[in-house]
Amino acid sequence: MTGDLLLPLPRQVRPSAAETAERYVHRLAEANHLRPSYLRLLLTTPPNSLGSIQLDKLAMLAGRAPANLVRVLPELAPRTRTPGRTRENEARKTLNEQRKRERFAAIRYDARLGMSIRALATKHHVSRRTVGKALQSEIPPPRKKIERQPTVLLGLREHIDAMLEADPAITAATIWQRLHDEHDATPSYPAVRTYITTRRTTRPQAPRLIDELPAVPATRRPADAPPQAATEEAAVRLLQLAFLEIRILTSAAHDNQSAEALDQRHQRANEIADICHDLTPWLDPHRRNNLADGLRHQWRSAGTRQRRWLQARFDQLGYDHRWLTELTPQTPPTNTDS
Amino acid sequence: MVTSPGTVAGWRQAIETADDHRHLSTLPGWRRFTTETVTAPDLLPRQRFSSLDNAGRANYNELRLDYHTRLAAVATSTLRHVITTGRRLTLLNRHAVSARRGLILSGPAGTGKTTAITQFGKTHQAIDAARHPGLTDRIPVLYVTVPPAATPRMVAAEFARFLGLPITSRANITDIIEAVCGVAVDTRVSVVAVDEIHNLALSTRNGADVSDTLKYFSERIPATFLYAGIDVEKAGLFSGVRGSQIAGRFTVIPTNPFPRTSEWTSLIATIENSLRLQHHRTDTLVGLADYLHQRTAGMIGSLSHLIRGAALDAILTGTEKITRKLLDAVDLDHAAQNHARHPHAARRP
Repeated sequence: MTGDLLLPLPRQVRPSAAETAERYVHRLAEANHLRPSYLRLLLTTPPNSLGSIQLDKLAMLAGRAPANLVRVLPELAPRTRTPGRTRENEARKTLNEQRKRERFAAIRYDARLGMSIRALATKHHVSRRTVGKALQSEIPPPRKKIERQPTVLLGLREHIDAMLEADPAITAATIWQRLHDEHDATPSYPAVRTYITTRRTTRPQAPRLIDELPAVPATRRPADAPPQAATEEAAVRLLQLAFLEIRILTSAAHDNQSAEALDQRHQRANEIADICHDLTPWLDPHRRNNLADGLRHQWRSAGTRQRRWLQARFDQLGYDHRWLTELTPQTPPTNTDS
Repeated sequence: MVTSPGTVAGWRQAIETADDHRHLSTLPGWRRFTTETVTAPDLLPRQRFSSLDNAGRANYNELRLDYHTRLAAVATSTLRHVITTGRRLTLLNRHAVSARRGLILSGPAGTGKTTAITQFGKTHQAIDAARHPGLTDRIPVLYVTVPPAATPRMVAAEFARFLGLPITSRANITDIIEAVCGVAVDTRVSVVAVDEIHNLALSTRNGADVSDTLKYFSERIPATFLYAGIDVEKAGLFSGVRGSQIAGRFTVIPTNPFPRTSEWTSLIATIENSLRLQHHRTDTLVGLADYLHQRTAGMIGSLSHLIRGAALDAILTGTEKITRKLLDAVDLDHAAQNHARHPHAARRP
């Protein structure tokens, strides 16, 4: 085979709209008893490079018209770039950040006038958490970077890790080839290469699971700290009880009562919600170490009725809460005791 | 390709598509060869021929030139023998699990070995198509030629090239053999024709390796193997351990120059009947049978070349008939020329 001329393969398979172009190439290779990686490398420009599938070459090998292939596998259509799209996106981002700074400034201004957090949130159409952030700093925190792992490598990382372990000097291209030929997988070369680069540059990490705790930091825990597991358990159960109680308090079964009684109920529900509001973020696997500190802060800033509620629920759960309830409250017990 | 009389576009299309994959050793070329039927154009009545204008005459001449360049093969006794034997062997091998029998065509150059082997392939393909109507993904016949100074990889690549499997320098021989055998089994290859087998010298290391590769192919592909080559007995194909195995499995059909017999005359008559010349008188060539035998030394390849060449000259010059003078003007291959000069010297391939 010389030059760019490719002849139709002797065995043909029909492309399906339910598959990717990579999968179609795999099926074509299998029907013709060729290595999938070998056939895949023929379809790039220049040949034997690790680029994307070229429509005209695949059409020649498949013995089909390019237009027909594109109709079934639209991803093969040559990509067109809108000129100026990147600049447009950048401009939008700058504008967005500027608006965020302006809003933070407005919130801080109103806060200095003595508005409550709840009132600020209502006025500026933001969540109370955003108000909290605005009060902490006048510069909005940068957007969180979402760590997404390419799904194409799902179930393949173990194999890649094993290959890297068996031969640390193995090239990304070899791994890509072996994944195609031995594991019937169709990852793109860049996806494999990026993963291998991160694996080589960062220390190996255990797979992140939602329920798994991060490694405990080396710093010693304070002597008066409560037992971590029991506190977590109690916090979760507390949250559960709070939900139930709010549900009962706001239930439609009480609608026929007087407006005053209804108001009281809603106030009570709000109080419970306020205590438990921060429990969920503290239960985040990365922040669980701060759970005790958070509860302490909550206890100190809570009103009498809220404190009573907390104590009663901890008793109900059979949790030893003396480390918390023996603390002196920060706020005078009168401000919420109405 | 159909060149039916009257279709002006027929020869034009034939010439325009002549270049792309017209080799027998590729699948599209082979398929075109096996499905091609050459239809003889009708001769115009004398008055209409003489009243043709320039453009009309050019069209008419082109149509006939195209026809004469690819006259149908003549069913000689050797050809019939090959087809009968080959057919018998394919049937015998149909259920053989190993040690399939094969066929070797051996003889001097120009005695019609390639024609016989390809005509058998064509026949076999037609039989297969009749048995499996409507199936287009079958490849009943695989036709390859052994390249000179062949290595096993080159031979395996020839097989792959016929099937249309893409072979680059990256492919190793194991991958190629695996792909060829897999596809051959899937597409139900039942006849493998290997031409120019004399390029394989068993006495050399490469030749022996190629022979082993062919042997391996014959084990993996359930097909009847046909070899054709120039004087393969003398080339040492049957000597040594490998040779004795080949000798034990293969029937040899020798192809020889035609003796000056009645078959030679009838052969010439068949070719003459297929000519389409305006003023040619029947039996002119039959009368020249002795002369033709002397000129071509009974080689069917040379005979076909001589008569077709003379026919083309007759059309181009406008004489529209073949005469002894016209035949004299056609230059033949070196071997035939030598023979005509020294008729009693032994002919060497």
